[in-house]
Amino acid sequence: MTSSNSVKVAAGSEDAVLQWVTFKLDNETYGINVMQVQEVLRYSEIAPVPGAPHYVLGIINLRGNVVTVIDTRSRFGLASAEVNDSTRVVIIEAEKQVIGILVDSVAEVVYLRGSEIDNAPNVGTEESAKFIQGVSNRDSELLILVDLDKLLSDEEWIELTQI
Amino acid sequence: MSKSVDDAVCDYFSLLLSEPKAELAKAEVVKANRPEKESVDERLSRQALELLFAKAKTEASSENIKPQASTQVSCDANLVPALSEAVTVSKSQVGITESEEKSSTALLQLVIEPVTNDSAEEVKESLSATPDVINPPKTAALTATQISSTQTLLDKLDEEFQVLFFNVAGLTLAVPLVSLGGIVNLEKVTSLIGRPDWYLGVQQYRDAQLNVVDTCAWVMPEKYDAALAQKVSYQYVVVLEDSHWGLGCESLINTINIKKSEVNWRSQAGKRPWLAGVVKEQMCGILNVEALVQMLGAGMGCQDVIQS
Repeated sequence: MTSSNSVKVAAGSEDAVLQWVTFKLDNETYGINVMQVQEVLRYSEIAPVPGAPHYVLGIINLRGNVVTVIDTRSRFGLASAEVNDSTRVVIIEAEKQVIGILVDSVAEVVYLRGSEIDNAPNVGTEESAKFIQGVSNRDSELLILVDLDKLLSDEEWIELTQI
Repeated sequence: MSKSVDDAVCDYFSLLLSEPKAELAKAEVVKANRPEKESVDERLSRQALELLFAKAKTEASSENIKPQASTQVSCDANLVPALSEAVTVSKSQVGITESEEKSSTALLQLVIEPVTNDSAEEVKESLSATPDVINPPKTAALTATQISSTQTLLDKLDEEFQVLFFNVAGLTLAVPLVSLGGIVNLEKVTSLIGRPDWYLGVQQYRDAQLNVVDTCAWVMPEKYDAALAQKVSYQYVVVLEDSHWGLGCESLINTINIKKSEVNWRSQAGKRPWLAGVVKEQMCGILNVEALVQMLGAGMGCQDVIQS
């Protein structure tokens, strides 16, 4: 194994424990930092916004606030899927904005030490490759950790505020 | 010369892919007529493969593998009739004498000849009729000088060395054992977003992530359509050197001892630096693993253009 693959993503100088909310997309498990998650909602009707960017599914009314929902599958380059009982909208805060991301299901909250997180194999040059912050092997399953701040580019984050 | 070998190998691989059923039927006939001696060879070959597995599991060094199965070549059953047929056709058309046949030049001609005949052209045309290209060629991140040359591999090899033959979608590939990191069963592979189409995913291997390559998609993207993708069933991962890369393979054929002179080495890396040459007897490509790992690491596909 090359050293780059075994390099651990340390969370600070200490081997800090971070909590990750895990969700499923296309049968793979992803994790997002629990500190960025505000709440998890059941799927409710998402109102489409005419002229919105392709990665925006639409908007929802969250207790009087309008929240933009991102099409996560499309963003990750995955095929679209039907909405079902497990579908959830995870409300997150990233780049000082509150948005929703549509996921297949939400699984659990896991605790991971910094030393348990590996760098993601660096191969792709595609845009979606940059979303992956790291990976962690847990119970014989690979957890893909997503960097929510990189979910959208700077221009796209600005674009969202103008919807 | 290297270009001709490239094309010959590519077309030969295409022929293998285009007629898998016919070859299989012929292979059954050959298998039925095969003398008992060969079953002994197969048993020996299996022992060698078991040794390889044991090596992967115990993390032992490759030096521990004894070449006990290497005295006899028991080629892939699918390959035998196709090879013999190809050689017979070529001999009759080229008119090679026995003395010429023994020379490596003549052997090279035998490999190259099917490319120029009409039937091969027809097959080529029929194959190119369905251009399901997964990745259009792009300019590579590496230049030819940055990629390990065949000479580097030759320097590493003894005059006689062991190779492992494995099979992917009817295509046989050879990898020198000195370049083999191990063989593992294909287990749970996790797909990662934003990776090339030939990237199957990652699998846990020795407490690290092993990048598993969809070998068929990488080696022959032009033939890898949805139908072929459905047929390919990877069983093992051939780990490349001490890298974190592995090639998916459907079956392991055997390991044998071969001499350097039994391989048509490519003197120039050309557009396929990952292909070190062609094993004459088995008529299959032998991998330059170091170059292959470099290309994979750079996210390069098989057809990406390498600048000189």
